[in-house]
Amino acid sequence: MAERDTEEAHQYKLVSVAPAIPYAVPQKMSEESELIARAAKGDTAAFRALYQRHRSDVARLVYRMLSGSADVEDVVQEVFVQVYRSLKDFRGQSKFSTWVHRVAVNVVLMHRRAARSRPTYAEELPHDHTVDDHSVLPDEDAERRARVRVFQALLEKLAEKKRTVFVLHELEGISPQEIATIVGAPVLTVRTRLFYARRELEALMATEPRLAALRGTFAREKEEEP
Amino acid sequence: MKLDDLVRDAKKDSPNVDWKSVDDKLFTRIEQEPRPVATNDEASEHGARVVWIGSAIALAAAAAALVLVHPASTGVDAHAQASNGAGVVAAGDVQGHVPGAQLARGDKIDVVDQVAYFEAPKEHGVAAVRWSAPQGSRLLVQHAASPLVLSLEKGAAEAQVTPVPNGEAFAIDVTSSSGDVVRVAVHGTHLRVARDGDKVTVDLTEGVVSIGAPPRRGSTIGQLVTAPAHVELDARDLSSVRVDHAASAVRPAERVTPAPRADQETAFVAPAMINDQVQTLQPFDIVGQPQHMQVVRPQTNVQSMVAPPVYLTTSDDVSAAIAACGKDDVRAGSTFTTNLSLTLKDDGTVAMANFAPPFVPGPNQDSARDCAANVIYKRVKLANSTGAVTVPIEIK
Repeated sequence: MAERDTEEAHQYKLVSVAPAIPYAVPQKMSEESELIARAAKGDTAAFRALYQRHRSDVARLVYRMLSGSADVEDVVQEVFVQVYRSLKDFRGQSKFSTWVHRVAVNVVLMHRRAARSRPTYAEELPHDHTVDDHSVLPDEDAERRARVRVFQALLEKLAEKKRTVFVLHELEGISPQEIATIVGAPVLTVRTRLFYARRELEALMATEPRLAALRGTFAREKEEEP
Repeated sequence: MKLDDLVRDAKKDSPNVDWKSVDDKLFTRIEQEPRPVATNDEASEHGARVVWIGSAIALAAAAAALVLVHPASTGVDAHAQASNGAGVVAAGDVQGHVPGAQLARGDKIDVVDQVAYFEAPKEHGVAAVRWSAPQGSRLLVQHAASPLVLSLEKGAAEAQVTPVPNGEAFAIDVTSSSGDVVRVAVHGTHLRVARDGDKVTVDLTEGVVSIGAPPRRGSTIGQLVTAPAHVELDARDLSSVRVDHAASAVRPAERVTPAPRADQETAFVAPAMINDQVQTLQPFDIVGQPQHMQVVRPQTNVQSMVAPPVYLTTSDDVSAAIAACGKDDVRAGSTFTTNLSLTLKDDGTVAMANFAPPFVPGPNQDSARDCAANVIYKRVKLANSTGAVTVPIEIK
């Protein structure tokens, strides 16, 4: 995963690109295993350490799976409560981060289902309301954010399973093999879902009028890129 | 603008999280969470003693059912705790009775000392199950709702199960060293299942069990065994089942509830009626020495309420009665055929029965099989027949 906290990114880099340091992997793993074992027995300090290692990844995943919803903090909190409750179930058969992602995906899906059954009040703004704000936001970052909002709105149109694997792979950079573990589906199924997710998104993009309005600024940005 | 461009934009987008707020709320909740229960092995490694001492925990057969806990009868109190999910049910040495506990799927039970008693009261038509596990036993709750399914990892479990109108009320799985699983499925009975490695013994003092591979869904299709029976098998090989119906070979039933203390009565009352039908299993008291207990039925007029059965004395009658069980179930225009192999007792009643192919006339196989089991074990008395008899069944 590319966007970890600096310290974690450094550790990840050591592990992945420095096989000359053979103890790097076991050291990190054993340290985490020890934390997991302690946390599973109720050691809150160990759990806090695990939480701080993984919270950024979880928050980003939750944010992307919820398409930028304001509920991210609540859901992240719920994910880690579930992790705490279920730590005793973690058998070490997958990476701890994979297992945490699995918990996070399940919590997000539950949250989305619960949200669907909640009544929508008239004063609530539709989710993609910010798209129309681009006319009053002149800077490029605002344009980019506007494109992201459109993209999130398109993602919302995908079926749940396709959206999940798309976010995990395309946005989180997780391999199909690991996604298969996270979503509990065969790798081939994951690849199929990815293929159709991309195809559907491209079709949606072609018919999305809000993207046409953003193409001009996007082209300018591309030209200015070194 | 391509999809990859939008993906690149989206990857730059990150949440703005108020971590202090999340941390505060999260750890406030964590502090309120029950402390996770360590596994018994882990606890042993660290010297923490995980003990079940003569306490009785009632097990919820329905997911949300309240679990009752009987106080210890031995004078040794124990604190029982049931973890939520795939944890270990542990009882520590905290003094005091436990008012209630609930087991869930995945809970592991180690009986370190004496005998643990469990109980699932009858609720919403779900069977009442009382069971006990002696010292040294280890069980895993495979399914907490009806049917209650336990996996016997070592030791033994003894259960008293009231009959259910349809399907199986209770089952014990034994996983062999080769990974094969044998299921002893119970419709209503008193049985004891024990294992010593791959060697499995089943002592059946009442009722009928089906011994076979666990089904993906529905009832267990296997060898039907009726009481009294002492069954031995190798868990790796279902064809190794050997049944001895001699009463002397069957281990006497032991109590599945703790002995009531002088100042307290056992709360459990087994339901006598299911769907307004009188069942053969009744509330019982157990008297005698603990090692050699005897089941004594209460003196009621239940027997007089039950009409004497009309026996089926010919193979044709048996075939017709069983065909009637599946008649409503078989698909219109199709025919279901099977052979029923019966091993008869000296008096012509059935000691053991087996369908080949399995008796699955239609989608509602549970009720058809229960009906067939009732016919076979309660109404068959083949005159002039002994030993093995094969009855062809055809259902149109």
